Amino acid sequence: MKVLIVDDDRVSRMLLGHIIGREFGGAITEAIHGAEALEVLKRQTFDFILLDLMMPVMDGLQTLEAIRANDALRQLPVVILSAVKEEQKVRRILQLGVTDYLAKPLQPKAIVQRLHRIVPPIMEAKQARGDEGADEAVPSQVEELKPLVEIVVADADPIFRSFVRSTLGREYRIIDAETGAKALRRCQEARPMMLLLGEGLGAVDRALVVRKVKAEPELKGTLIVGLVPPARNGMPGRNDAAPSDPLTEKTLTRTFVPAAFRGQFAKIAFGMQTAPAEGGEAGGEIVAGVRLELVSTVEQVFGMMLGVDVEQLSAHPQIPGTWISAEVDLTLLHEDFTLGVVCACPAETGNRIATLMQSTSSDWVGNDLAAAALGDIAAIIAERLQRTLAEQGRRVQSSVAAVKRGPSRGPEQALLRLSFNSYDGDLPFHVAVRGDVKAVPAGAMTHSARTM
Amino acid sequence: MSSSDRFMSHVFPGSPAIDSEAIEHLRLLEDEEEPDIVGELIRLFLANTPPRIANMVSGVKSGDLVAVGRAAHSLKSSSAHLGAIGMHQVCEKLDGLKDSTHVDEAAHLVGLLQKEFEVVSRALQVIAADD
Repeated sequence: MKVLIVDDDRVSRMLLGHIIGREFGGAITEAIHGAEALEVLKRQTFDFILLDLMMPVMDGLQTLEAIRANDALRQLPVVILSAVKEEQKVRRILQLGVTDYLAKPLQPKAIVQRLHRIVPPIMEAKQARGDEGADEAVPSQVEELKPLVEIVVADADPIFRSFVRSTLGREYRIIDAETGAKALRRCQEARPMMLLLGEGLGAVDRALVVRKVKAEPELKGTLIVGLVPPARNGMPGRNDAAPSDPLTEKTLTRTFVPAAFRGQFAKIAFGMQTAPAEGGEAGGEIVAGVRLELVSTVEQVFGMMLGVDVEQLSAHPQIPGTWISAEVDLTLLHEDFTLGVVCACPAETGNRIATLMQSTSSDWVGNDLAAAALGDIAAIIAERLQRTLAEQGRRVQSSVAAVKRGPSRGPEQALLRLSFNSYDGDLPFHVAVRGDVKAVPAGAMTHSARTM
Repeated sequence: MSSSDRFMSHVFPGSPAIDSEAIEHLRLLEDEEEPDIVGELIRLFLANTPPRIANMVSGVKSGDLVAVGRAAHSLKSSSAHLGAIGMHQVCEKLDGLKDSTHVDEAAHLVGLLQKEFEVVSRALQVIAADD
């Protein structure tokens, strides 16, 4: 593993270098500012880069912009160091795309935990691309690396599992399971976006796997897709529907033709091939495809702007009292469909967020400032989602954040509910995505305010 | 009680200049192959800090609070890594002073930082010697 650490502080570079060397045995290269880093990147390739933001000569944001503007480096995984309070900078960083962040000051134990979460997907993606020899390659050979979303492939046939890995492994983290029991375990560990369910799974058969996954609240967001044999007369085409499967809502024909498999997969994952017939279903598919990216965005916003590590919770705690919420509508033009990105938290949490964002020592900044801070966060998260949807070929327009204050009510009708809290448990925060079917003419801007 | 705890902070009167818990966390990184990480980090910090404080002093004299903030930002992280909580606090404040009307406040804070660094360096030397 090769890592470039870019930080003007020698103590930080040394600390990070020690930790990476000890935990992963990586080869470390150091640069003291962005200009030096770009010089190094011209000559060597790296698996990822740790990039501080505040540096002399060329700061981290300028460096990130230069990296993303370079065809050879565009997909280089970048982990941001240090906290950024300015909303505009956070927006720009998320727009440019980063893999993760490490909040400063660096806490050795937290860094070790975080790196163990960050590094494996990067290295697995590298392995999936089959570019183990790329260490010696010229930078122009740096390949595409997209944010990793997990898919569990449960099938007895190792050749088919390998086929799925080679076909989808560049875009997704493919997790193998040769038996039903292993598939369940992998699902519980990874909470994947999708479970591809094949045949010959042993004692824990397909039906049992489906029952168990559906009964698991944490796997509510996991779409179960049955792998079914091809029709008798040959292989499916890119747009052919797979035969139905009584156990699962969606099916994929078990083909070894990459284009046919990818075509079917895209249709299920993003609804790319067909117009949505029903808002809820279409919204569910869209949201399933962006779920992990939303989680990552929320973590990055909190980590970079507030210097607080938050984690996604498996349950959705109901906290009484006054809540504030902010919502940004994303109108999917030509699809008669609107997604509402809702951020909500107790008023106390909103106050703490505003206090951290403004670096003020006041105990209470007032509800208006707290609501405004929440609106800023909602806008940043919605902007990231909008960009992802645009990358899928969708035309999207956003509204301004509408802020609402009111009693606590859970977002029961949401297509997606995500609950977060800081590790010390004093920053409860919800993000929900609602879906509404409504005819909105192209070019229209919507404003809305809803209670959660 | 750690042997460095007798060196008291000027920023947080009554508290040790070095948070011994931060040092203990760093010690968790030490093993047979890397037995002196804490000592290495301390030596690096003690060597790198005086030039940064000197930059802040000259920045205050010339009224260049941007230069003061840049040096403070850089020192802020390493102070926190080594548990110098008072230095971290002062650097945090200096990092936020961008307006030239705050030169007097910056001068006061840089003076406080110099005093704090004196005790911090003595405490860290004791820790490095114990290591």
